[in-house]
Amino acid sequence: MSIRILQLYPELMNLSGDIGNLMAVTRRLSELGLRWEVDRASVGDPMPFGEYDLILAGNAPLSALLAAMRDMAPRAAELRAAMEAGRVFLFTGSARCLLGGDLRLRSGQCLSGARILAESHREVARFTGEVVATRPGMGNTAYLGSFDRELETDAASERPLFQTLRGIGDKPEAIYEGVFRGNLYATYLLGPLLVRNPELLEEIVAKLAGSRYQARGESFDAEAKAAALSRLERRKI
Amino acid sequence: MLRPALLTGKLLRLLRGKKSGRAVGAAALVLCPNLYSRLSVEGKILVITGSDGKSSVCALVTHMLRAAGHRVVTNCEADGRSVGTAAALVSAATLKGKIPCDYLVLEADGRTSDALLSLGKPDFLLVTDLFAHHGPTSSRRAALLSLIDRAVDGHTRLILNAMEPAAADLRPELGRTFFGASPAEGLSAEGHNLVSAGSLCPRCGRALSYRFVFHHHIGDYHCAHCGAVTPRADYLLTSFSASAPECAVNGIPFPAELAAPYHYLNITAATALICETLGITPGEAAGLCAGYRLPAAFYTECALKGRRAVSLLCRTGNPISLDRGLEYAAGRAETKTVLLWVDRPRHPAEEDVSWLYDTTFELLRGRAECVVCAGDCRLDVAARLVYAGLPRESILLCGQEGELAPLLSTTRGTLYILADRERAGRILRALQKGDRA
Repeated sequence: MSIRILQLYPELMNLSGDIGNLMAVTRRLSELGLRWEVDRASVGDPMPFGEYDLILAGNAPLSALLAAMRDMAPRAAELRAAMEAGRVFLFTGSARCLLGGDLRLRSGQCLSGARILAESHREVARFTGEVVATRPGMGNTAYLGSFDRELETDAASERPLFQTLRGIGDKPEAIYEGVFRGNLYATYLLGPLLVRNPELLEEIVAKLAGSRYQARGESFDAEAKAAALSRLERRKI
Repeated sequence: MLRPALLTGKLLRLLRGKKSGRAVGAAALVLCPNLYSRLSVEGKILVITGSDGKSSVCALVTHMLRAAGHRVVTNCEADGRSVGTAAALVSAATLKGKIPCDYLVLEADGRTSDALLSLGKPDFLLVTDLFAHHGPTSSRRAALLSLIDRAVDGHTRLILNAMEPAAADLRPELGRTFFGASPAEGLSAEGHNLVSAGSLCPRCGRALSYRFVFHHHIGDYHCAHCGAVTPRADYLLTSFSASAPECAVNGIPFPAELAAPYHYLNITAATALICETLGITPGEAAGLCAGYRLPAAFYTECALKGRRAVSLLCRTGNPISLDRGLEYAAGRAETKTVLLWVDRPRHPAEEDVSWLYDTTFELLRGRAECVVCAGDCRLDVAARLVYAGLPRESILLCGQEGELAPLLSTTRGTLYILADRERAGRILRALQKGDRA
C-alpha cells in the first residue's frame, strides 16, 4: 500500500520553496523502501482529505491566499473529519490562515478560513527575519525557520508549535509561534521547514511510516542546519 | 548642499578614479540627501524595471543609443544600487546640477526607485517581468507594481512584456508597446522550471492556462474564466537557437556575437525600447548592436589550465536568475563541471534558503559530471542537489576560495561558474592567477 500525499493549491501556494517539504518527505519514504503517491488539488477540485495520509500547503502572496481561502472555507467539515482521523497536516507560511478564522485585511475586507483553529489573522506591515526556537515540552533541540510575512495573530494557541529563542512569534511581541495539535502542524514559518529541521522531518516520517520507520543516517541537511545555527549564534554575540 | 555634494563627489572621482563608485555616491547622499530631486535632466528619461533582466537590457539599450551617436548617462554600470546610481549621476552632472545628456537610462527596482523618480517622470518605462516568488534579493511584484504606478504619467509610453500577465495588464489607458516571443521547438505548455506556469489572471484571479511557456510563468497565456489573453506583440522574438547564439526579432537576424542564448528575450525588449524611442526599425536597431558584448560580469569565457571556463552571473537569493544560468549550463551537450558559489544574501533573513527550493537544480541531473558547492550556503546547496536527484558522489564541497583550484583540478570538462557578480570576478581572477603561476 502506498502512502498518499495531497499537495494543496500547488500553483497558488508554493512561492517560498515549500515544495522542499514534499521533496524531503518523499525522499525519506523512498529511503525506507516505502511506496508513495502525490496528488495535487486546487481551486474547485475535489479534496477528499480523509483518503490521504499527509496534507501539505505552503506560503502564498496575499492575492493567491485569498483565492485559496474562498475555496477552503466551505470544506471545513471534511477537514475536521480528516484531522480527527489522525491525518497529518503541515501548513507553512500564509497557508496557516486556511485553517484559521477571520483574516482581516488593511483594506477593511474580511475573509474566513475553515475555522479549524481558534485563531484569527490580520494583515500588518511586513516582517522579515529568522527564528530559532524549541518545541514546548519537547526538549532543547533547536529548530530553525525564516519568516517574511504581513500577517499576525492574537490568539495564543493552547499547543504552540514553537517557543522562539530568537526572532518573533505569532506577533512581534509574542514568543510562541504556530499550532501543534495531534498530527496538525501549522506555522507562519515558510518554505522547506522539514529540510531545514531534520528532526521535524523524522517526526512526521515516523508518523507516516509507523512500524516501518528507521532512523536516518548522515545528511547534508543536518550539517547545513548545524552550520546555520552556528552562524546565527555568532551573529548574536 | 547640492554644490558641495557634487564638488566632493567629483573630487573623490578625480582622486580615486574608477574605484571611487560607492564612495562618490555615499558622500553625495550624505551631503545632499535630496540629491535626486535637486538634479535636472536635459534629455529624455528611459526607465527599465522588472524582477529580472533589468541590467542586461539597460546595458544593451545604452550601447545602442551611444552607437546611434547620442549622449547617454546611465546607472547600469553602477556599483551598488542607491549609492552607485548617485555616483553615476554626480559624475555626469555639472556643478549647477544639470545632467547634460540626450538620454538618461535608469535601471530601477522597488527598493531604490522612490528617490530616482524625483528626477522626473519617464518618457519610456520598460517592464521585463514581474515575479511573485519569495526570494531575498528578487524585486517583489507588489513593490514593482507600486513603483510603476507612481512612476508614470499621461505622457509615459510603456514597453511591456506581452508574455508576463501582470505586466501586460498594466495601465491600459496609456500608450503601450508589447514585446514577446513566438513558439519554438522545445517550449511546452508546462514549462521546465520547478516553479513554472501557474500565474493568476491579473483580471479575475483565476489560474491561467498556457499555450507555451517561455520560462517560469512567462509565456503565451489565456484565462478560461474571463478571456484575458497574451496581447499581440509589436516586437517578436521570431527565431532563436538554444544551442547556438542566433536570434531574430520580427524576422531580422541580430548579430551572432550578441548574447548568451538565455539573453534573447532581453534583446527583444531592448529592440522594442530603442525602436520606439528613436523611431527606427528592428533592422536599424540590429545594426546598432554591432560590436556589443555582454559585460564581463554577465558572461565571461576563458581558458583555465587548458579547459574552457564560462562564468555566468547568477544573483544570490534569486531563483529566476540561477535558473537561467542552470538552463544555459545544462543545455550544452558536453562533459562539464558546474561550480555553484552561493553566499548568504544581505538580508534580514540571511539564513533563509527557501529560494533554493524554487530553483530548478533538477536541470543538472545527468547533465553535469560533477557539481562543486562553495560559499556560505554550500551545505544547503548540496542538500538541495541530493533532493534534485544528483548522486552524492558527484557533489564536492569547497570551504574556502583557496581550496578551489586543487579541487577543480580533480574534475573534468568545461567549467561553468555560477556566482554573484563580485564573487565570479574574484574566482576567475584567482584561478587565472594560479594558472599563470
